[in-house]
Amino acid sequence: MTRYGMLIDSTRCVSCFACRLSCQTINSLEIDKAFIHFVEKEEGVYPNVKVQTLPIQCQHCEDAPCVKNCPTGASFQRKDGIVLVDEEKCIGCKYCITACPYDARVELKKDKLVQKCNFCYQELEKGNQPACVQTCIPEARIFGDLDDPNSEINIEIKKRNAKPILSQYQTKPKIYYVNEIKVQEQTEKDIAGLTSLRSDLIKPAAGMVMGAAVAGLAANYVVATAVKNKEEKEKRGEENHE
Amino acid sequence: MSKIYVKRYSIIDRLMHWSVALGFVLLSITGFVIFFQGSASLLNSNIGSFIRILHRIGAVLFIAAPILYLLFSKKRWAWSEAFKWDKSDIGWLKAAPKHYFIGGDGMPPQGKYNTGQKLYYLFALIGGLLLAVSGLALWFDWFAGKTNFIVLIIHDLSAVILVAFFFVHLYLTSIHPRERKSFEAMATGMMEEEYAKHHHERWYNEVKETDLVVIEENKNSSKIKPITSNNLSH
Repeated sequence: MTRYGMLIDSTRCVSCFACRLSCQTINSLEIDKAFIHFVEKEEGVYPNVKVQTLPIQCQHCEDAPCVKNCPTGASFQRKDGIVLVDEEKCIGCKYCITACPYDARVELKKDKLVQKCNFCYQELEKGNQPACVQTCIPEARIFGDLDDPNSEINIEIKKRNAKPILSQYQTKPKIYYVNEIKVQEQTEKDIAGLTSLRSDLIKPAAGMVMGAAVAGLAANYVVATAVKNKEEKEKRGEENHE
Repeated sequence: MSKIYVKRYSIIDRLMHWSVALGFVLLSITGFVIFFQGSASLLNSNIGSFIRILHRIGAVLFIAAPILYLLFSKKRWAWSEAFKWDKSDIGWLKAAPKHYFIGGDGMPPQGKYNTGQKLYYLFALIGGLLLAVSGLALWFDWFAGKTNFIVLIIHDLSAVILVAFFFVHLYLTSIHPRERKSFEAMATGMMEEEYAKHHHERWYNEVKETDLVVIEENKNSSKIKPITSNNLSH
């Protein structure tokens, strides 16, 4: 099985932002919308200053909270692990934007739908690499098959000791980073517990509560009608008797 | 034929009630379409955007009517009745299961609203407030991230609880074989004297001097006559 993933070596990144530009171009995005954003950190005092940049985009999580939260099934995961948005099904409710711990999702202005990095799946079909990988000047990005133990990406992940960021959210992301910057945990994004509470407990319980209410009322109707009819019959019987 | 009725709900009361009712039904149907995964796929189509607009229209009806009522109706504080509880309410709750299944007496005399109605009123007030505020927060993006998701869960829970109670309300007022007569009161504003005496004795005693009317029903028309001291001799 193929399972696509990416390695981003931010120690090689030169902050040229070309990946974002090529991504915007290939996806025909509006000029102020992008699927890649950057976390930057500056260290030291002039003239000994060090700048680090960490490009962040959709991590194509194995346990994707966006897929779990999408009410229409517009967000889905392909067999090769790529998470996509089916625009025909998207209704712009933005639950996925709330759910994503990586802020990787963007509301498009033109039709108010939500989109994000799609690992350039159309380029992959042509045998090309994703646009951001193709364009990266310092070759900080490596794309490949995580299921193949001999792939370049797997070898490099081991060699450079690359790890996913924000793994504490336990979404099993598929982008591995070599980084000196710590991405700050966003406490307001720690909603994995809440999302499963909603989809695994609240929704089925809601169905049961309302079903129980209807069933109880139906039972009441049957009993109350029977009792009433019986009483009326007895009444009539007595009247006739008299 | 003529019958004696008690005036129960003014035209303003009824407009408020039916506006909230229409809003609530629109809201719950359109809301559950997106809540349940299966039906949510309906929203992809053109019907989808219509459903979402209906949800907003429902919201406006549901929220605006009580606000207008609170601002302009003379009976604006009527809802405070729902907070007045005493011993007879406990007696009512104990006797209610038997009464609603098998019928029979043994219910303590009730005011304008019986204990069950007060309970529903309370749920409608608190649940409605939670629904409205959380709904506006979701509509106008007041919050983001985790807070927004908690607001969504509050919206879910208050909706589910309120809909379950709404089923009970709908059932008792229009389907239950012994109680469905009470539907008349919210439809016409009038309650049969007999029913009022039996179901709301304390309230009936308060208003029997002032709010009784005689309705004469001919084949084609019905006339409403206020009861004066002249014809009170029944």
